[in-house]
Amino acid sequence: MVEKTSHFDEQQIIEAVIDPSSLDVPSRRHLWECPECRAQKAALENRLARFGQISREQTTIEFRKPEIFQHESAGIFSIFKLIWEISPVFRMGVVFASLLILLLTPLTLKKDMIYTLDRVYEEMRQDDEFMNEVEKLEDTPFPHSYVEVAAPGDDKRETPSPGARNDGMTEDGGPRNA
Amino acid sequence: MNTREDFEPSVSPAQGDQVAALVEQARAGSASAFEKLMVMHRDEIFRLVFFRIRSRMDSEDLTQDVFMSAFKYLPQLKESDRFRPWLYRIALNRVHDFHRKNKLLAFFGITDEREQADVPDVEPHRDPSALDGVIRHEFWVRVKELSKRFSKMEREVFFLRFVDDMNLREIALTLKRSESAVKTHLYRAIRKFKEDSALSDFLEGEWHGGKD
Repeated sequence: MVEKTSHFDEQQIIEAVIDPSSLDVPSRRHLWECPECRAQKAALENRLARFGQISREQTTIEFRKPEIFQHESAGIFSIFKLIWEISPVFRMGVVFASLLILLLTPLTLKKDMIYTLDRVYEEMRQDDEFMNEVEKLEDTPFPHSYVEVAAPGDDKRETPSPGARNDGMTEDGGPRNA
Repeated sequence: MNTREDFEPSVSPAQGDQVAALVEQARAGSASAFEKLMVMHRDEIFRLVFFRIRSRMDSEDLTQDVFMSAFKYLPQLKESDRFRPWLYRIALNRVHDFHRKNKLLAFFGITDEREQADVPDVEPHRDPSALDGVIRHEFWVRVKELSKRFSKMEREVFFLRFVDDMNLREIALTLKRSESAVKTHLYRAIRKFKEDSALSDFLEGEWHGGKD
């Protein structure tokens, strides 16, 4: 009890500053009655408060205010960015979709290649048909119907080549001497 | 003369109720409620970060990051009345991550070994009580010296209590420690603060100078 009625030591002063309610009743009574101990406590509190005050003054500056919802006036990229930043599910979805595209792209390319080869084969086949027609035309330069209506002995005669001059006939097919 | 009221938390019970109501609305999906919460807390969060980093640009980025994280993880906050300690914990974690990243980059030689600046890279708002350049520099050197004397936990507890103006319960929630552990760390920190005669002289001189 004697200790409680004597002045506070450093430890008690600090404890009183930290949490006055943690002091026991005699100590609280002493603190209430003793101006010297109250002054010590107040001096320490003042220094701590001054420290805090200067610290706050020194850190009170102009700064860029944080913004979360600026996307409301911005484009779709900002919305994408915001969702990307806050949603792990969205991030995983985007990564999964990217992987899927990467995996499927070779298949798509291969399909394109097959399609291209088919087209080449088709064009080659059409070319072959065309060449066959050309060869047939070279074998029989006159149309088939013309060959059928010609005279039976005509095929023994020399087939005039286009543009060859026939001196025995006029240009309209009549005899030159008529 | 300062009274005990100077050490009471800066958030009154009425404000606490308002914050809790806004948190509930924000958790229900109200963007405007979260915007209000952000406006209410952005200055103190920036101050917390800036006091520990002393670079305005980095502090701005980290403050933005803190609120992005808060927005993202708000649905996980179970008790609305613990929003402030929860937000402070996010901010402290971001500050620790920042220091850790800087150390790592310096270790691999990606960036220069950069000691934390003694003095912040910007001047505070000018007002009649603001310190001039020399005294300001002296103050920050003293703060750095004091920080070196503290253990990590003593430093956190001391600055949260007297710079960020949190009460013991809020500090305990922020640091996930018991109140008695917080008191113990705070006790040790105040002892070291008292023993720092250079800082005491500075505060006494500045205090009386300010009074005159």
